[in-house]
Amino acid sequence: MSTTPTETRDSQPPAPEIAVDGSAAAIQTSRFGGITIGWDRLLRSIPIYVGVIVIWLYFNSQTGGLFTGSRNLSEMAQEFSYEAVLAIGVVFVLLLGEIDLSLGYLTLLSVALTSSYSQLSGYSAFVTILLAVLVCTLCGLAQGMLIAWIRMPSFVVTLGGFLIFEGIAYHILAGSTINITDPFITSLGTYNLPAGLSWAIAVAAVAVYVLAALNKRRMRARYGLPQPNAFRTAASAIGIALLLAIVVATMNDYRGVPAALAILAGFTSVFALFATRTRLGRHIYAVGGNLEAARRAGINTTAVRWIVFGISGMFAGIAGVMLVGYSAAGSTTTAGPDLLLDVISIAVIGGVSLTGGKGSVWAVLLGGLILASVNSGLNLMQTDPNYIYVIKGAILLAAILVDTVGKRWDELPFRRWVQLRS
Amino acid sequence: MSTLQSVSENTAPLPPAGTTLLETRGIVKSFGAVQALRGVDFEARSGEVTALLGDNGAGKSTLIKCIAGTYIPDCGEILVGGVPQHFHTPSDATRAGIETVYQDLALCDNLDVVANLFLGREQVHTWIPSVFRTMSEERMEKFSTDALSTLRINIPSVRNQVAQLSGGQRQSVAVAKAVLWSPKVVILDEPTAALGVAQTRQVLDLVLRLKERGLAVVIITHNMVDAFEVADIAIVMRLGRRVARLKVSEVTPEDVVAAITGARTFDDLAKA
Repeated sequence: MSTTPTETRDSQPPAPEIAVDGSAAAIQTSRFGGITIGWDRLLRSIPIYVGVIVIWLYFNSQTGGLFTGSRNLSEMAQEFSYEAVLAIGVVFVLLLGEIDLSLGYLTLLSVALTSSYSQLSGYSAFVTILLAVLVCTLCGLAQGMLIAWIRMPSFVVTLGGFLIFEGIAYHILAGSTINITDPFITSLGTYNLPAGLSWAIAVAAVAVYVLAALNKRRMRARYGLPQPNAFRTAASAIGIALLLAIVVATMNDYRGVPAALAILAGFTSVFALFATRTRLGRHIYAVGGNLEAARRAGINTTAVRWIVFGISGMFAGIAGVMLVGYSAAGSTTTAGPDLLLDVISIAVIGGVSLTGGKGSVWAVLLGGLILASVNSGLNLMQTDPNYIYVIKGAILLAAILVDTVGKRWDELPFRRWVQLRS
Repeated sequence: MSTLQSVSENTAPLPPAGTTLLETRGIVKSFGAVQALRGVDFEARSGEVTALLGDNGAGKSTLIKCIAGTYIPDCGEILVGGVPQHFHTPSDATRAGIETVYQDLALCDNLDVVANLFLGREQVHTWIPSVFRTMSEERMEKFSTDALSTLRINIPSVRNQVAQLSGGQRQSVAVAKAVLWSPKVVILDEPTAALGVAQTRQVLDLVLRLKERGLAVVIITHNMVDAFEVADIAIVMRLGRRVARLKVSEVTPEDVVAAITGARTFDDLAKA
């Protein structure tokens, strides 16, 4: 105790005012802050990146390089993009500290509606997609109304929705498999972007990132604020450019970037922008962080919670359409409760906290990548599907364990044995 | 100070010290058979710190919640700057220039200092009117930095999450959030209850700075030492009534304790 504060103080830039204003408080903060930041970073991000590398190396060695082949990676992207899209809605629900158990069967309802509108009613692809997404959004809003206005627990409301949507979807599908012939809807699962177009989009994305970074510097200069480290900004721009280049090159090596992956990238970017740059996005974080503080700050917390369940329903609708496109058919086995657990895993693995207020929309890319890798790798190794369930369940628990330990480190019983020194 | 004013919705300068900014007359509030407030008069003046004292159940919190718009009084008047007000929601009170800082409920731990200071009042840049607006982070950060330095509040960075701040810094940020919008009256509910010695010092210094700026500051506290350190006026409540209004410089802590417990009456103290 006697040495730690001195070290902390020395490592700080000279700040005489802080020392005068209550040195005990200042030292305590930085010491506590050091632990929090250190463990947050360590627990939240490093295991995920290490996890990806370990998983990939393992599967690669087990499948003789088949796993990281461009064909397998393309199929992975094709197969899992709709789950990651659905997970965007889950991220917002989790940010509120709520849960939406109905998503699996709401997606199945979307599958049922899409296939019956397109195939049985003969609507055009545009009308079909619009109606399916609209109905699912309304279903989400209906649940949200009970949760936000009547203040029923989301767990119970969406459990009711789980059964209701299951019943309706099963009724529509009536036990049969509806094969889809609409070329646009099936192209959602089969179309690959031309190589040139993918490169153009990637270049445009990097350009937007660079312009946004430059604009930020310009604005900060205008207001006389300290500038972020230029090298770090440049490094992250280069990092993003490299990452996009690798993805596009890999996908182009097989058949090109799948349409589903492009849709995922689009939705993720737009909703990440929504979450971090708009007032409503900020209010979602505030409501999840401290409902009472948000209410007292004049935020319409009821509306915020309501809208989030609408967003969740909307993504269920979109994911259902993508799923029909991918399987070119709709049946009762196309989606279900397994999907729900997958998408919750995706969000939690990506670092979204179950207790609300913490996490980012980008989490769906990382979480989706891990879950897709595990699924694809185990399938390539021809693992017994029953084991796959066990392994995925264990991964979900591990992700929640990391989330819980990171948050309540000080309260845990084994804290006494593992003495931390910052 | 000038930049602070430019973000605020209410730019009217505060009246000279000693003007009554907040006044209640005969506030009555009952919960079923329990009469929590039995006709309470209260006043807070600009450039003064008014301590609201009383034992548990004396009605302090009920009175504050009536003033802050959380409760609607059964009877009685609330005047802000001499104008009668009827508050139905907390935002009515905020609009009238009354900001209340609650002990634990003020901040979102998961957001940074800037986001907390502007919570519910985020500054936006409009790209497409009423369709696409993004938050002007730089503007908000600039105003936050200025506001905190005006109030001489030291925190490592305005981009720190509130969860990483000490208790004193959190309380200071909560107070800054209240005064960022140039209110007339700031009510602090037990601002030092959970704080250590050095942190209490920080917050009390901040209270004195608010007083210097000409605000009417109301501080609810159980801590007699704090009350005597910052307050000019002590208003003592007992069993739903106001039993004394004392100039802190003219009485001793023992007198105030006697008023709180009912050992002596207001008239006794006025003579003393």
